[in-house]
Amino acid sequence: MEAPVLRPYREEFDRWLDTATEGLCAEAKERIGQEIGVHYGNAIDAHREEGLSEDEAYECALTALGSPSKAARAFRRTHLTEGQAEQLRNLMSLDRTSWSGFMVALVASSLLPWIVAAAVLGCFFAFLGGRIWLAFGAVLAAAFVFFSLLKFLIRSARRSQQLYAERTTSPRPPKRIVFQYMVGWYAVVGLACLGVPDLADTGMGVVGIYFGIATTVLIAMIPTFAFLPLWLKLRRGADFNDPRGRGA
Amino acid sequence: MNLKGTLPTLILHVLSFGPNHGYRIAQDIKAKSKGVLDFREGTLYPALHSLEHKGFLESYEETVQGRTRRYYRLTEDGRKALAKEREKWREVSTAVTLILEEA
Repeated sequence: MEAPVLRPYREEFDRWLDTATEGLCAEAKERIGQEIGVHYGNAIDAHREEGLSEDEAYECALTALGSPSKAARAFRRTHLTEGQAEQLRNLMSLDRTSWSGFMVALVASSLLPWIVAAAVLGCFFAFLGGRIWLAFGAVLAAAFVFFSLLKFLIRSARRSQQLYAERTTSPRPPKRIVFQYMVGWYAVVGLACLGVPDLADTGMGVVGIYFGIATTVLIAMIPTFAFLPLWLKLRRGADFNDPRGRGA
Repeated sequence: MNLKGTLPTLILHVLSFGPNHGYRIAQDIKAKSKGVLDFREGTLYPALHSLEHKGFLESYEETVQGRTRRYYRLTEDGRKALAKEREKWREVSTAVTLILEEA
């Protein structure tokens, strides 16, 4: 049985914990709360054995933990935030066995803007060139090839992650998956960049180039703001924060 | 004394003697330094988690007297990292001693 912690001290400790884990994903909160809760209980017991009064023991144990804001900053470097964990879960859900499930997950994981952007660009090209269905079909075919490749990469990365998980009790960040995904996005940006100069020959001149640049920047914003920060954090070691100590 | 930057190395060193849980690791560091090296215990856990994520530590849960504690143990990569850090520390401390003890 855990040592009973008196209510006012429990509330103070809970406040400390809330501040230290603010914004972190639920799995991280659970693991940190459990570990530091036991630590706090051990510290109280030790201070009591040293002969401190009940009040002093609780106060010393809480003081020894230090500033919750400093701990929060350190935890945010190590653990995923709620938003990042959600983003990663969406990304991992791309590893589906059925194509219908894959397509649903694809739309759910923020790829919809890319498809819309690609379709808009395709229609624009076609409008200028007069071959709307041909251009639209070419864009969709390119998207299909790109996403098929993406699916294969995600599956192979996931397999290597599972093999690692079988050998150890500790989690391994799925950073390879995020990296491949991000590289895929930047490859799309690169392809879009290649097409920008051609827009000048379509009759729109400088306006066409501006349109091309704006669309490319729009596409580039997705990996830069959505996946680059997540990947950088995973590189530093953050992961799914499974409370059991295993990767998801 | 400020432990900034040296806490992960001290954690690896303490765990080179065998698996241990967070509270005991913190007390061991304080005791082994005879109280000279002091730190806020709330910063111990981000350091432990970071070392685990880097693959230097592994963790597992064990229930002792009704309390579920998470124990950490050193991995082979962790041992190698500790050996490297020890070597670096020796070089730095020798250099600092040479400067400070200059007549």
